[in-house]
Amino acid sequence: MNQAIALESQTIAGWGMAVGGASQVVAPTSKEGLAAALAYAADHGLRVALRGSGCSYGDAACGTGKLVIDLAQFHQILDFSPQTGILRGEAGVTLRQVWQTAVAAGFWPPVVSGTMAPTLGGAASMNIHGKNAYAVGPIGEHIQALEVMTPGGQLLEVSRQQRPDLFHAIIGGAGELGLITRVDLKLKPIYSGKLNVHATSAPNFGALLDRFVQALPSSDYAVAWLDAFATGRALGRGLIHTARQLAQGEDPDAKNTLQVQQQELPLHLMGVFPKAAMWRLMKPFAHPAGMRLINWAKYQSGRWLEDGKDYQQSHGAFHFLLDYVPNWKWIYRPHGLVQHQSFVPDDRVREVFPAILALCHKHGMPSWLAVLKRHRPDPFLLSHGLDGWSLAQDFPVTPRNREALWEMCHQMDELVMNAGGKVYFAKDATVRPASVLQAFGAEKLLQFKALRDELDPNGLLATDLYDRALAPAIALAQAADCQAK
Amino acid sequence: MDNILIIGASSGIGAALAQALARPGRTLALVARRNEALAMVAEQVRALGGQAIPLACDVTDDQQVEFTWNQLRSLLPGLDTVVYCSGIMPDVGPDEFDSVKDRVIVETNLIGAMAWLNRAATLFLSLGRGTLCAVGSVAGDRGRRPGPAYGASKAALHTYMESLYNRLYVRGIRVVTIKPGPIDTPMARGKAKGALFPVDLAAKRIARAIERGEREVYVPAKWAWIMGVIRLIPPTVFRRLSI
Repeated sequence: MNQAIALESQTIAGWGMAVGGASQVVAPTSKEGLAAALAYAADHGLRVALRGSGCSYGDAACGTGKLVIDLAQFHQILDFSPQTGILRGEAGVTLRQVWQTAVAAGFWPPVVSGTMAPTLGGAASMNIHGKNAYAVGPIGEHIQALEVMTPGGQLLEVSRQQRPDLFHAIIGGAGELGLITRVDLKLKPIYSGKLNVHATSAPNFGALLDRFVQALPSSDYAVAWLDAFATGRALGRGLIHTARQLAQGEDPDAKNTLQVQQQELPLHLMGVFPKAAMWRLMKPFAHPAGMRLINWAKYQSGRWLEDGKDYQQSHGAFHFLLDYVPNWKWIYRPHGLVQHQSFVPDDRVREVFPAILALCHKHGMPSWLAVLKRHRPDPFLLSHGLDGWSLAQDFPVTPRNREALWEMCHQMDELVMNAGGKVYFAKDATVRPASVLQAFGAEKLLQFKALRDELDPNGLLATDLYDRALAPAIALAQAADCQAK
Repeated sequence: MDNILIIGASSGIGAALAQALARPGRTLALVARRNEALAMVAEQVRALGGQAIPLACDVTDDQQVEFTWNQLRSLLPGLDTVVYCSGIMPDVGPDEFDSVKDRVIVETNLIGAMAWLNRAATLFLSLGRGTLCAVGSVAGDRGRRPGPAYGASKAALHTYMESLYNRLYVRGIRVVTIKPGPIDTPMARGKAKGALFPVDLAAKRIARAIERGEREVYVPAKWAWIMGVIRLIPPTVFRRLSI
C-alpha cells in the first residue's frame, strides 16, 4: 500500500524552542490516513516521531530528519457521560476541550498541567502530572482504557485488564511503543467552579518545605514558587499556593460558577491591556538582572500583600498559569529555554534541592522560574513519579551559556540520580543516557525494549528524545545485562 | 568522541588522521573509494587498539552516499563525529581551462562534503551533540594562479563550514574547519614548493582540534599568520606576486 500522503517540510521545535529541526510533517485526519503515513515512512526508510500539541519542553515531540505525525486532527470527543464522568476522546482532544465539555456538568479533568493545550494522547504518552500529583498521581492513574495503533497499523484495546503490561508502559512511554488513538479518561466531580486558595510565604527552603507539608492534608492542590535568585539564608525562599475544592453545597452559586465562561482566562489585563502583547512588556526584563528584580518583586509582594490570605479563584485561573500570558516563552527568543525538573525522594530533598540551587549560583545561572511540587509513586513502567518532590527550573539558552548550561544540567542530574531521583521526559532536553539508566534501572529499560521489539520490531517509532537519551540508555542496560550474565 | 566517521580515509591526511584518532574504546568508520587501501588503514587502526569499519563509497555519487550513510547508521548507531577529508588536486596547466576536470574537483571537494555533512548535521541536531569537521586548504584563502577550481572548491568549503558553525554552535554541535598548508601527502608531493609538513604531525594536530572542537585551525600553525598577511595584500599587488 502506498497511498499518497500530504507531506510538508517544516521546522519542528520543542516547546522550549531550543531543540528540534527540519522534519517532514503529516497530519492525517483518519485512521486510514494514519496507517498510510506509517506505511509511507516504512517504505521510505523514514522513522516516525509522534506529536500532539507539542507542549513538551524538550525533544519528546521532535523528529529532526524524520516523519513527524501530527495527531492534532483527531480532535473528536467521542463520548462523555455525566453519570460516570468518563470521557472518551480521540488522541488530539486537548485538555481545554475536556474541561469545556465537562465543567457545566460538574466535572473537571482529574489532572491538568500548567497549560490547557496538551492533547490527551500527549498527556498519556508523557504521563503528565498536576499540582495534585501527591494526592492523585499522574494522569495515567485516571485513564480507564486506550486504543493503540501499532506501527504495523494494527489496532489494540489496552487497559488494566487487557494487556496490563502494555497499558503501564505506553502511558509514560513517550510515544515509542505505539500510537495512542483514543483515551478513556475518568473525570472527577466538582461542586463549584471556584477553588478556595490559600497563600503563604516562606523566607527559606526549610521553612518552605515545612509549610508545604503542613498544608498538604487540608489541600487538594499545592504548589510553591521559588525565588531561585535568593542566596545565603534566603536560599529557596518562596510562596506557596494551596487550593481546596468546595464540597457539595458549599457554593450557593455553583450553577453559575460552573459555566464555561466563568473558567475562561481574561483576554485583557486589568480590563484594558491586551494580554497577547504582554510578552513584549516582559522582554526588556529577559536578562539575569531583570529576572532577579522580577523574582525579588514577586517574592516581596507575595510576602507583604498576600501572606496568609485566603481567596477564591476559578479552576482555570488557578491551574493554567502558563496560559495566563500568551506566548510568554517568546521572551526567551531567539535561542529558547530548557527546563530541568529534578525528582528527588522525600528523605533527601532537604539536602539535594538546596545543593541544586547553590550549584546554579556557582555556575552563575540561577533559574528564571522555579516551581516545587510534591509527588507520589505510581505503577507505570518508565515513571517519573516517586515519594518525593520535584523542582522545575527554567533556564534561558544563549550562544554563550549553551555548553555551560548543559554541563550544569548534567551535574544536577548527577545529584538527583545519586539521591535515587528521576527524570521526566516531557521536560527534558539535556539528560545523558547514563542518568536515564540510573533513574529507571536496567530491568525496566529492558522490559520497555522487549515491548518495543514486540510492537515495533522494525524500530519505526523514534523521537529525537528516543535517539538522544532512551535508545542509548537501553543499549547501556543491555551491555550491563550481558556483563551480569 | 567514541564513534568517528572519516570520509576519504584511504590515503593522505584522512589515513594519517585515522591512525592519530585510533585508540582502544573508539570505533572508526572509514569511507573511501578504494577498498584495498581502506583495508590497510583499517588494519592499522585495529593494530592501535581501535575498532574499524571500512566502507567503500564514491563520495561524488549521492545514491552511494545515501546507501552508505544508512548502512553506517545501523552499524554505528552512536556516531558522534564526522570528518570529511576527501579531496583531489589534479595537475592543471597554466593555460588549461577544463570544465570536465573542474567539475570532478568541485564534486569531490565540495559537493561530497555537503552530501555527508548535511546528513550528519541533521542527525546531530536530533541528538543535540556531535562534531562536524572538514579539511579545507590554505589555497582557499586567496585566488592564486595555480588550481582555480581547487582553490574555489576549498574557499566554498570554508564558507559552507562557517555557515554550519553559525547555524549549529548554539545547538551543542561543534563545527571544525581545518586549513592545512602543504602537507607531505601523495596529493601535494611534487607540486608544492618548499618543504612539506610531515603528515603524521599534521594528523595529530587535526585530531586535537577535533577533540577540542576548535573552530578553525591552520596546520601547521604558522599558516595562520602567513595567511593573515597574504589575505591583506591588495589584488593589484597580489597579481604581481608568484605565490
